[in-house]
Amino acid sequence: MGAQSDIVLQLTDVTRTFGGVVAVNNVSFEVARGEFVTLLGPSGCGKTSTLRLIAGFLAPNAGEIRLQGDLVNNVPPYERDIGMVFQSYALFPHMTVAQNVGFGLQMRRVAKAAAAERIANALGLVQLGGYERRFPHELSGGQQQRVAIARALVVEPAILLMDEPMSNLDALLRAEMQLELKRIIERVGVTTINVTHNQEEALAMSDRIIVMSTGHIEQVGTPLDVYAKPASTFVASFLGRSNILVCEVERRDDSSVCARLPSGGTVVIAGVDAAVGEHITFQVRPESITLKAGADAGENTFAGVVRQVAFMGSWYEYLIDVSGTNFLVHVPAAASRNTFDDGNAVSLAWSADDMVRLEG
Amino acid sequence: MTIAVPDAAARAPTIGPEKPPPGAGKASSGIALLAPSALLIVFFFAALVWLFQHSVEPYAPTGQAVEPGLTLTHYAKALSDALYVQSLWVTFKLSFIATVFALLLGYPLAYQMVRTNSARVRTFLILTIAIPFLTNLIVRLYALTLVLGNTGLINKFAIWSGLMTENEILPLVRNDLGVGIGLTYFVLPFVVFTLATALRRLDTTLEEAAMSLGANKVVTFFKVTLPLSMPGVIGAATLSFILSASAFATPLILGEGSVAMIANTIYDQVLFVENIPFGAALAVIALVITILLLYLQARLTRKRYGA
Repeated sequence: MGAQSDIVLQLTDVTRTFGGVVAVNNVSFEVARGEFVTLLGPSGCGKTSTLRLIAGFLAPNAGEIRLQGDLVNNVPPYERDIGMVFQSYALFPHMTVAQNVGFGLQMRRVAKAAAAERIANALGLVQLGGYERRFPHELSGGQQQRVAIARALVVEPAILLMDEPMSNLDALLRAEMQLELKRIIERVGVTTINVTHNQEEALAMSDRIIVMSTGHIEQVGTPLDVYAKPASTFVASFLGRSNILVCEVERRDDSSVCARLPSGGTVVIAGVDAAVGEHITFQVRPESITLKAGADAGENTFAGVVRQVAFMGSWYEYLIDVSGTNFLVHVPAAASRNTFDDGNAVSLAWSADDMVRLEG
Repeated sequence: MTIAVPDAAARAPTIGPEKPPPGAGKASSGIALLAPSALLIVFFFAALVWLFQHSVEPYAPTGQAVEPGLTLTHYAKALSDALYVQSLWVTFKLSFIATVFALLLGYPLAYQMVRTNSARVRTFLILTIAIPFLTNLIVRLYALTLVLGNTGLINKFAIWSGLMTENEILPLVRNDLGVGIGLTYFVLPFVVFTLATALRRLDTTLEEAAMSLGANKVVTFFKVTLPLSMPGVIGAATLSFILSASAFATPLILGEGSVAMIANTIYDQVLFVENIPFGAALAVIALVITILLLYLQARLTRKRYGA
């Protein structure tokens, strides 16, 4: 009881290989009741295999998967208390919307009247009341996705699993659906695991993000944590855009170090403990860098030349050449009417606090 | 024997693209491409017209003058004389039975062929089905008589194992049973390959969705897999029925003259009785039944659920 029962899902050293290829490598994490956790990573990172292990479509080669405390390593999907939303939605084409949503209730032998009420509630939740008699092919992609969500939620599963649920929606609908799905899931309070390669979706929806790469976990943390304090070069470059630089520590004092960039010049990094002579990797987000015309002096300030300008809608993206090293700089479009053009001499600067040291 | 492949599921690999390939839109090349169809129209439809024309001509034995005029007496005779009604009925009955058994045997085979994870099992199944399929039918039928015949393997085994005495015979040829087995054997590859095509197209994510909702493997099969493979089943059934109903060699060899299906009856009428008009009428009836079946199949498998 207590803390123990609040863990809905527990993976311990889970490994799964496919013909010698390790898809999921020694993965361990816990998911608390009501939590929204996203498995984030590029294709082939093992996030979908991890989800399929949790769903029971795959069995682990090693390790333990516990659902509500029970070891489920070899329990088939239909005996696990799960709801799943598939990338393709996987609505049954030969059944109406109501039959699709009611399928799980029918399997659980819920009485007809009770089932009808729960179907109506579920469809109301996804704002598809009145669509009961439609067939999936008569619905738009967004509506099909809502049916898929209603079908997974109506059985009140212990855990909701979503496999790239937004990837088949167009950009505008995706942004809308992210907010709506978050609202629905919060209202229902269901524990959720979402798999995506879309970092915006992960950042916008999750309580915690598990960043995966080549089968293992790179970092686990809140969206803010993984974005602001990436644990590795991989996380830094996968989540958002980054300037990643390696430099050699020249000097250190109580709270910061001074390091030399390979292209020349020195940077001051706050809150880092490193020995003199050590090579360290750090990250500066493009939006943390400020641009000024002409030369300037100061801490973490460098002279550069504009190499490329791109208007991105709400921001400008600049590529600035600083003695042979390219820096990516984002300037909010509202603050700047693109005062910089190709070939302009500029100075770029950032605060010592905006530099994050990366491991490996 | 016409090997029509009317089934929607089996249509994919056949010739005749639904959309012309890019660049083939020129009128001249289009007309050139029609040449084979023209041949087909001339030789196939002209023959059918000739057949129909004969079926309404009065019959006169060789050497006697044919009366002028048209008549439906051949049709009346075909549909009323017990001998011919029996032949039609046997054709229908055996084709139906062969279709049912071919589906029952073929579905699990096709399912295994498509779903097995082992490339070796798949290859084995494909070869098991394809090798007999590519072997001459007459050879296969004679091989089958060596198994089913009165002195064949099964009878020998039954006597050897003491299930029967040496004086007894398990009659597996020269009767409906033998022809039914032969027809099933004959249509099975068609059924398996048609069903395999349909099953290969089935989105297995739908089965996973059913299982995620609590359906075990059996329920998933009957609620999702089978209903969604129905167009393939109907296609395979139609193909099987039409092939069985037009079978000639199978009843001839395994029936040894005691089982006359419609093709055998037509053959006898045309070649031995030399009553070409009556043979033609029987052929037209068989043709009409086939066309009706194709129509029914098209109605049943018309694109459903927009899939």
